[in-house]
Amino acid sequence: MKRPNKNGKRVVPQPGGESFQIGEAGLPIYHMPMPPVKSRGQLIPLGEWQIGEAGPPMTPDEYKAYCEREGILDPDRQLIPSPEELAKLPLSARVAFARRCAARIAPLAGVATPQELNPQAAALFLLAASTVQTPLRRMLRCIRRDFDRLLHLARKQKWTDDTPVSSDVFGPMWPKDLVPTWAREIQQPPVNPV
Amino acid sequence: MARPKFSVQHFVACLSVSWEGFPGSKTARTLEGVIHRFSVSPGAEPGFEFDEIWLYARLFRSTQVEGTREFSVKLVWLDAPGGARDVLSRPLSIVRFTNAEPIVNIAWSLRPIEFPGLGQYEFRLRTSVRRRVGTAQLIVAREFIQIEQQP
Repeated sequence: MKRPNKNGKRVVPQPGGESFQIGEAGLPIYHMPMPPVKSRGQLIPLGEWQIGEAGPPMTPDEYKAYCEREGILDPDRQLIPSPEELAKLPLSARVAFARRCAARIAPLAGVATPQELNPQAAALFLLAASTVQTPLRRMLRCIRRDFDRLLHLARKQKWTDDTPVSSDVFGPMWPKDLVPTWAREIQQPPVNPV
Repeated sequence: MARPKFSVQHFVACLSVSWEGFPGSKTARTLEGVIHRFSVSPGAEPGFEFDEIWLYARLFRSTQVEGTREFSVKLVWLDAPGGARDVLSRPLSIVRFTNAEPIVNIAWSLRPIEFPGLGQYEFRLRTSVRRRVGTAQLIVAREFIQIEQQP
């Protein structure tokens, strides 16, 4: 049996005609003792419908402007935020993002890691370090997610250039199943006091 | 013999389903009284018996197999005293899937239908599936309605 949208897959009807079949239910098989029928009649619809109306048609440019105004993400956006996109962030958020990019690749770059790094440079490090288990696309999505989150919060909370942005706003650096080997913290065995 | 696989695109309970023209398999039908909340007349006491209720489903075949599937519906009283209780089951008519018509609209009438009390009810659309140990009933769609007393 297929469920609609199982595993995110669309269920598309097969080409061909359709039929309208009618059927009557068979006799009821009761699973509980039913009380004697005291009321007969018809069910009366109750409640309210909401009337929805579609907005006016939009040109692609108008739609793009609408998405930007409403904060709707473009599904075809680049994985690495462009400088034009970065410019939309307040200054403090830009700095926080650059620090996050630097922190992301710090275990790869070693001691020479700068305090702040642009996403393009961070992506180059990830490109060199990607593996089958940690594919590049998924790793770059983490950079995009950081940026999208900052943009969303900046819009929602009306950040300005002076709003302090903590590194906590980003959440975990990597999804649990994507932590690269080089980014895993080396667990030091506890020192035996004996 | 393989049986056609399908997905349930819509499953809706409503008060009636009328033809938009001469009855026939190519004629569209109108669902009437499609809403979640229903009321019974003021002063009505449980159990309630209603003339009919309809269940509409649109099914998309998802394989190239022609054949039929058997359906049944189970009514569950979710707000029964002491917790949800199965009220009744009813076999429904058999649905045919063909290569020419892989999309099936079907409306089943349940008449009459009894409800033991007020509250929320769940219609579970089930189909029979073969298991190693026999045939089982698999729930393929659910619809909910609320029955309230009119103020």
